[in-house]
Amino acid sequence: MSDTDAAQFTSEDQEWVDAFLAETTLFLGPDPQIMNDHRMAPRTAQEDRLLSGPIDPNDLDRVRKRIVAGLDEAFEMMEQTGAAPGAKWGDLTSAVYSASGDLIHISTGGVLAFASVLHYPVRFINKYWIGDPTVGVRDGDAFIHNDARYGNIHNTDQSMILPVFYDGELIAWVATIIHEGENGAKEPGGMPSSSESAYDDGIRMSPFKIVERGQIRRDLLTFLQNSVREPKLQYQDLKVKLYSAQRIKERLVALLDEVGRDAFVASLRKSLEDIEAEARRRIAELPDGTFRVNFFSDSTLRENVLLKYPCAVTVKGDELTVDWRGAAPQFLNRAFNATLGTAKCGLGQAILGFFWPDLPRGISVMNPMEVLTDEGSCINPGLEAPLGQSLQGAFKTFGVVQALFAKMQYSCPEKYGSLIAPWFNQINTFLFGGLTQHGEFVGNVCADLNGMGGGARAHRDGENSMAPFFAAMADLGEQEIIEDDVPFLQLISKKIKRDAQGFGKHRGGMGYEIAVAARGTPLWGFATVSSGSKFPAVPGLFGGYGCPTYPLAKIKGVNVFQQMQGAPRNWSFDFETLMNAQPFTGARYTTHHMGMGFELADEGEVYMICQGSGGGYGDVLERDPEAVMADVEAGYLSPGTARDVYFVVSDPATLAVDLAATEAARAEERQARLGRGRPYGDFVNAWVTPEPPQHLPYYGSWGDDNSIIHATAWTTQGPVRVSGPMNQLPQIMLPDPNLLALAAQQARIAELEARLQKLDGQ
Amino acid sequence: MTDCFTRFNGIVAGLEDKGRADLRRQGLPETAVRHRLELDMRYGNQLVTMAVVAPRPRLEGIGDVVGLMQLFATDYGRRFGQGSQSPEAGIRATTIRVASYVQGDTVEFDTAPPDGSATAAAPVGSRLCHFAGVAGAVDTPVFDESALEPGRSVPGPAIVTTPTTTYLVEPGWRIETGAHGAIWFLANSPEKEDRR
Repeated sequence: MSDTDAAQFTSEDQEWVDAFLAETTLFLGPDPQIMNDHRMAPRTAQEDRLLSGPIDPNDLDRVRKRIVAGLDEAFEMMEQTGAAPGAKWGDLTSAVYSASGDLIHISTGGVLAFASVLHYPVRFINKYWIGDPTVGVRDGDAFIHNDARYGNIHNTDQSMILPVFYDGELIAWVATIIHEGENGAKEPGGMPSSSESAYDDGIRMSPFKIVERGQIRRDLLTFLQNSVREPKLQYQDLKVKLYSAQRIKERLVALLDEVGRDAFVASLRKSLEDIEAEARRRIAELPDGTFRVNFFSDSTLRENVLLKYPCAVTVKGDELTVDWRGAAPQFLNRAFNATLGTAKCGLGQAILGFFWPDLPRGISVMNPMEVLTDEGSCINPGLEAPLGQSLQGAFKTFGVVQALFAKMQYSCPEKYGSLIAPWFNQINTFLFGGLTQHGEFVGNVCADLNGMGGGARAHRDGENSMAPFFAAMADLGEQEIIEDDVPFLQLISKKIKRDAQGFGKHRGGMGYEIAVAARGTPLWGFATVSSGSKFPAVPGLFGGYGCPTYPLAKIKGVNVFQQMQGAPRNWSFDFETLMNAQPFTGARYTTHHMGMGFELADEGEVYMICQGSGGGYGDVLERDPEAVMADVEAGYLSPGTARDVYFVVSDPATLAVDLAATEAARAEERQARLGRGRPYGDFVNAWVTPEPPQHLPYYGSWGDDNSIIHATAWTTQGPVRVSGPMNQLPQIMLPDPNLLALAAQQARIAELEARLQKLDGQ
Repeated sequence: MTDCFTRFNGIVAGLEDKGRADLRRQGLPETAVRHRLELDMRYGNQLVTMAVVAPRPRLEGIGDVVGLMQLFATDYGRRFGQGSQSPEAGIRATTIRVASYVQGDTVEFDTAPPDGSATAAAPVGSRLCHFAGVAGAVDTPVFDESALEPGRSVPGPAIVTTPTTTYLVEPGWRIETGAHGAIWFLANSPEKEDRR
């Protein structure tokens, strides 16, 4: 049928077509109508009626606090009884929704970013399963999901979504969700950086009913246990999530008994509408205009590339538009793509975690916000894009928004959070997999990622190894408890990494280094899943430096446990010294970028990484020289860096600052800066090129024109630079970097063999 | 723990000896010393451990171990919900602990609410406050911690500031301090009492 015919449909025709299609849907994939809508649902007629009367603010306050108390109780239950490392150290949340699926609130502790993504699966259940005769939603049921395409941060997180009935009416939903880790993906631990297709990402659960009449369905549980590497974890935490969700439900029913149905329903809606009203009031206080930043990632996690993440935030009246158009295209065989919902988590996190940390954590905080992306970009990819390390997208959308917030609020008399440089935002930690000392196969992640350095503030340094930007109250984990569960030791354990500092008038919070080695296991391996080894992971603010780059370092081909038995003094407690001194004979010392696909490690082989720093704030020449030397004294900064970066002159023996010499050195540097400076127009003329350099594997817009995307596509002829609107670009699929390395070696061998033949012939 | 009873009981006996010696050094008669055997237990890899008090001070057979598992399961179900137990994930006893003690006297606290004989405390200042349901600002007396001494009463609306917290007493309510320093929020009418 042509479009002209379709336009002649009568309303009756349309009804027939709709009815036919409703009964004959082949596949209930992620619903774009649900997945593109981050706002709360419109008022129902009933909510409208209830809100037309007076609302007692004390009742509203009581309902909200009781809900939060119930959520916090469930959070505590999950943290205490959960088996996943993520559960124990705070990578989880609990949530309450209205009957329409609007997220009312999440727990105080845990991962705040869930607040902007957890409504999607509930809406899916509401839309498709309630009326489906083969599914249905009844009291005592509960649903599970993990697939980020149906709404999730990433596929390691598994939910338990439970309807709350009151006098037979579906009156609310509750959910509990834990970063479980292992999910049967290509690599152990659930976040495969080497994922090359959506089907490498592991089990992908659309929302389905796992609990009926209060009982976990054993047939489905068995299927799930068979689909992952940790059947025990899958079983145990499913129960943990179910009983924690039931606890919230009990609290809600008790609250309903107390305040009555109408007051409960009215309070939930009023709470959301109040949040939106306050968000609008605060946006209206911001100066109108457009604030822009361009930022980059340096890695697909398989190879070094440059991926652009532009951001333009426009404030107009009481509304915000966040424009991420011009971002790199999706890669169909790389793992860093993030769904639009995941990308918006970065925005929600920046708002609720840092910009307006005092607001209740409800979905409606993002109601006054419009988000623009290119379909087919790495932050709004198609359904076939792998999402194994989709955190990369959310980290970047968080980082660019946070970089702008400080500029937007700088001149506002009233601020609701500190003026802060971007928080460190990569998960520099080890994923692991293998057989434990207890004979169990596991695959999961170390909580060390929770030691991210805080951004510097306008009034003070960032906090060292403070918290992940997405969960202010997450924990680092007790090393003794961890070693009770898994067979590897931290040979360097959480020592602040010297010189890895976001320099500035106020410096970024620094990160720690760790070194791990497996011991007493027949099979073990590690992976790392971060970018930031070539280009800073986060920028600085107002002249402050960004996070320094960092390597992954390995000492392979040697068992350091054996070495240390004979010569313990050969060991050093920082990897800078180990890599420079190379104390173990016969070992291989190598450095790499931080995207290491899972690889096996023999006993005593050492893997070393460090956390990054938060961004610095302000000019290094304005930093208090005593503060610089305090860092030197603490071992956070080398004397050379104090002199070269901060221009602080000190007595090498006593570390006492020579104030006069320092001021002279700084005055000299200011003069040198004037000498290096160029008028802006001259700089632009000399620096800006019409296109990205040909040799650079570059992805995204170039300059200010975000409508044209540049990309290095791979063909049988090798890499080819292409450019055009996003929807006209070829699909990007990169070759296996190991095959490229092999091809280069083969070519070299052929070349040398030809020379040899030539010599033989002479 | 199902096949090492001798070793287990040896550890317990050793801990009892240490506890008895500690109390003897403090001058308590050895014959008065009692012991309580506790095991910290958990399911699988979870963080929480719960102390289970063993009904008998020694393990003599599998029946004793099953009994401990049941005690643990019962307490776990009471805390986290009946059915939430997951023994399939394995049960670990992470700590063996012996509490050695001598029974002392018990202090009885007076838990009765204030009897209404409290005398009003004196404010130290006042400030304007807004209360839900009350139009306009109310000149509200401010008290310091001396208002919370036993036998004192503070009628609402009022604010009581102390070094550690602030008490807001809404209109229609009062606070009274009981004999052991317990602070009672009391409503002036039964209707408000329901909302306590």
